[in-house]
Amino acid sequence: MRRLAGQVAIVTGASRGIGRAIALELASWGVKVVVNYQSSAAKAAEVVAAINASQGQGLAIQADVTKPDDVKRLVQTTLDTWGQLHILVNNAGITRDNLFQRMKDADWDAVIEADLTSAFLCSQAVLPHMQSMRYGRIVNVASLAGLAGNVGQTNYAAAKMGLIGLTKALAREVTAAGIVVNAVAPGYVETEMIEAIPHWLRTWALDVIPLKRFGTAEEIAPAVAFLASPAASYIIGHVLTIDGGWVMP
Amino acid sequence: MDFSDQVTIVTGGTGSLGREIVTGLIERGSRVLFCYRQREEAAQELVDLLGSDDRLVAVKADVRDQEAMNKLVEEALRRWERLDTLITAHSAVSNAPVVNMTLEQWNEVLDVMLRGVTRVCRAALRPMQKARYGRIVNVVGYQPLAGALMQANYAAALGGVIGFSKALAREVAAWGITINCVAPGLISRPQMAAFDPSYIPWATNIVPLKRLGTPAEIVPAVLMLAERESGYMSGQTITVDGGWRMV
Repeated sequence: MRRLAGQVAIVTGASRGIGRAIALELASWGVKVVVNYQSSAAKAAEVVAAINASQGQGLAIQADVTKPDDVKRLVQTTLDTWGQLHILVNNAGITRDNLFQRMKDADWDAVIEADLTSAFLCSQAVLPHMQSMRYGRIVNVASLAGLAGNVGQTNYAAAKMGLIGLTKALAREVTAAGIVVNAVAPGYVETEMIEAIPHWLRTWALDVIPLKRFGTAEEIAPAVAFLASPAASYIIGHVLTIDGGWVMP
Repeated sequence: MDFSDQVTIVTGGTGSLGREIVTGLIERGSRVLFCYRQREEAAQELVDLLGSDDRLVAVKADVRDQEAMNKLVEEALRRWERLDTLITAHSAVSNAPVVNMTLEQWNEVLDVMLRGVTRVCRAALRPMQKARYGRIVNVVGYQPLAGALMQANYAAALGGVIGFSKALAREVAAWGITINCVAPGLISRPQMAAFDPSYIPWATNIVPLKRLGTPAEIVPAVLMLAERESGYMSGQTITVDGGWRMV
């Protein structure tokens, strides 16, 4: 399975949830993985330990991906350590749910910055290196909330659908340089982020999802690894939904 | 399509699409209050041209200012005591390839195109909820659906509007308020004069209809979604692109 041996990836927001599963999956494909985190140092260290325990190579790097200087340092440290960078997974994200008319400006802005602007900044920071290699894979972790909307998540839906817009626009710009940009759009996935949703919404969601269960982070990660591999060379600006059949867009 | 007795607010009324939307609404009987950011003369010209017995009012107001959007809605209510429809058609571009795009360029376009829509929606929702009726139509573009060179900020912002519209459509459906988007494809606009001369032949060739669209050809889709009868359509994005992409 070490099909991507020798490659290097940055996974943002990789200390927990879907990002953690993506980091472990890529490592199992032989990728050297930078486990980026903002504040969960101990959890990031656990992910790195898990990678190293299975003969992989992981490196935890703290960086707030909404801050341009942090992003530059994240990419530079990766290149200083491993000399190359093939894969960027823009996974970092937060939620600040509320009904639109009760939502504070700060909650709107925080989600747009963390879920959308961060992907712009990280993509921009890795492009010069990927362009010089004439190879790169960028995978953005969007959400079904962007494609289908969700009560209480106008900010999150805007950020995630905005991320799909960014995916397609960037995909067009960089294909000629051998860089492939795609997105995945997970539906409901069992993570800490999802634990916060109200009971009625959980019941409703379980009812409308044909598989009658939420996904696991491990069910998202293989699709990300596939889009991050050379096999995805003719898939451009695609949004792969992984939602148990919920929306079938 | 009859909008007699109705009241509509249009943002970006002096833009090439905004003008046509305002014109279409006035022709079909609506009272219209539109806002513009800078082009006072163009706004006055439009009001004079349509000469519509106080059914048309232009207000200078910036979508970057929540208070200005609140006042815009208050003005419509003060004059006509109702608000049926909101149509957002304002625009701001600041093009660059991602690798060279500054964070300021990114934030500026998001602020006008995405936040601008949320600000005016926030102001308009209160009277709509009170009336248990409302139509919101956001004009977006093909960029978030098809990608576009040099326009990652624009694609992200308009994609954001589509996602926002869907989430909000779910939140306010119970009040009889629908929210939809219209995504124009390759439309002929004055600013195209400044483009690379190869653009228009290229664009013309990839569209099955073998021509660019006109701003007036976007109007029927916008007005259809704004109609009272369109009450079962919500959270949708209608593409009007001459058959370019057919998705």
